[in-house]
Amino acid sequence: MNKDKIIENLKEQITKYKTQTTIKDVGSVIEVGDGIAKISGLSHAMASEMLDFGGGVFGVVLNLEEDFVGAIILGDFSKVSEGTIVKKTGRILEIPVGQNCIGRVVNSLGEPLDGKGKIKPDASYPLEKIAPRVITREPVTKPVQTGIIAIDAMIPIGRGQRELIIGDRQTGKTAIAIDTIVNQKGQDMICIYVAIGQKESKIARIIGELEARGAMDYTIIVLAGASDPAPMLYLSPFAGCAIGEYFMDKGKDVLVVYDDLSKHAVSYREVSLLLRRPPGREAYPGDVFYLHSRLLERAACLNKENGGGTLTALPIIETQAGDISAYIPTNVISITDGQIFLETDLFYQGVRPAINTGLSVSRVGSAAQIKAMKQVAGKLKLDMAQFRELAAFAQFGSDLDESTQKQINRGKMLTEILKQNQFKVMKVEEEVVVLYAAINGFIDDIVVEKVKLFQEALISYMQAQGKKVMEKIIQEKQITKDIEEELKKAIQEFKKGFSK
Amino acid sequence: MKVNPKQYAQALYEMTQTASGSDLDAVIQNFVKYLGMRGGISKASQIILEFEKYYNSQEGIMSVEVSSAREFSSDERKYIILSFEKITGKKIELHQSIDKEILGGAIFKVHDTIIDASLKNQLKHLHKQLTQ
Repeated sequence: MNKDKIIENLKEQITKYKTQTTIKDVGSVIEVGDGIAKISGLSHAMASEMLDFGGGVFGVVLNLEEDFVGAIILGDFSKVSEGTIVKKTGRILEIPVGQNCIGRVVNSLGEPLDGKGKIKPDASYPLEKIAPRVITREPVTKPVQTGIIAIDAMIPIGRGQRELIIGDRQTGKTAIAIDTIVNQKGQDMICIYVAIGQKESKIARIIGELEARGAMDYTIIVLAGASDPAPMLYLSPFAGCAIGEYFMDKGKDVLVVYDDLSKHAVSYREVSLLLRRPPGREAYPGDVFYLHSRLLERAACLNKENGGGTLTALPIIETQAGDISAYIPTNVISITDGQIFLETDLFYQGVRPAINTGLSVSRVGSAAQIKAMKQVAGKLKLDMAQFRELAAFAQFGSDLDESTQKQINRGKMLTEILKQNQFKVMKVEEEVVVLYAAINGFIDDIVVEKVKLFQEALISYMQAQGKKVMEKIIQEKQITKDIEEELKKAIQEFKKGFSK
Repeated sequence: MKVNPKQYAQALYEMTQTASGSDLDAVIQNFVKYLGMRGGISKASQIILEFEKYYNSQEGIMSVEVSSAREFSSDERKYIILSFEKITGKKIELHQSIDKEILGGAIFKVHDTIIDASLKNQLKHLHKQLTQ
């Protein structure tokens, strides 16, 4: 290209350029503090519109009042002072999302926190979005394999379900969620772990564990730590959900863990009280139910016409001294499609994961179980229920009749089978084989202390010698007569070599 | 009953409507005394602000703040006031401030709206267009 052409082009561009004046709506800050600001002016502001405070600080309109608007400030509010000019942006709060988010740690605004450089976004998604409507949905039919035998057998979770994990502090709530993420390797699932008000040391540990197990290849962490201001905590689950929706709209399966929604409710209460919204029960604002219901309603199983993506939500709630009848726990229990209830007593008895199988339910997941699992899980549930009824008599020992004793013994064995250490996730066919052996009396003559040993040895035997049967179970997805015969033979063969 | 600055300002406006000369002084004195009684002195600055707003809206006056790189000539001033009056149909009160940063042109501020016709802004747009 020659010089004249360039100059010609430039001249043309400049003559084409029309002088234009920009018209902006502005306001000025009249009060600021604790991450919120009161702004006068901005008469055309929309609810949840983004505001520009200048200097890279943004805010979100939450209250629209007669003479002023109340806004939360995202980021460093020490730069905002009385009289600061605030500009409207005309956009609802949205965050950058995309394929490049995978494997990264981001904050509630989608900005990277892991020091691995900028993330190139593919799109922008609004934080607040109306949940998929009924016409776009279909029933939950595909399972999420958590790799935890107690959950996969008795409290199954389906893709698109919302399953609450509830329990006191230190009962292994996060452990269940992390195990589930670790087990998604190779299952075509994108996992998003949203840490709300967690200690950053804990998050660093979790990231380390996930990296060590190769789980960061399909995981995104949205982090709003304990030291972040309340507005960031309040927005973080919506950010996680928005990132998840991007992948769901692409037809992918997504698992989002909200850890935990109690702290989220507390941060929302803080923001609400600072904005002078009237407090209600336990000083939570009146719309705290809507806060969680609109978030969890965005979990969905879309039908084929809408891409067939799913978004599974695993919210976590921390109870105080086992009180599940407090305000936030009852709210979230009623919103979700079931709960996994963890108990301190069980945890200290050594039953880990400390799942109370009596109180835990899954309202839609059983439709998503594979048939083979259904075949073994039915008997397991029955046996465990009978064991719970009789457990009170267990201390009478030899005074009991034979059938009762047998039932109690079976229950003890099954409890042992359902124990599982962290990061020891199991494949679904392994779970089926172990449970088949357990409910069909193959372990009744083994001493309780050796049950776990038996289980491990059985799995490694089946992986080596019984590979054919295992493969058949995966293929057929059910235990047919033939498979049952082969399975029985294999287990009997194995028992011969196993010293009781 | 709690009285907000807006209501104080409205009351003051109503009272001063009919008064003039020494009466006006008395009215304002009484108003300040009343404020002191009600513990409203601390809101004085807000009341003044609201009063200005209310007075302007009642009298059909619009205050326009304009910042430019240099002082306007009286002709330019007149032209600006006239054109604003034509559009809004209100009496215009022009407050000018000098801001060298904007290079040329002017930025007008009416209520919550900023009309940016500065040279700096134009150059920014040109830059955007050329780099696209």
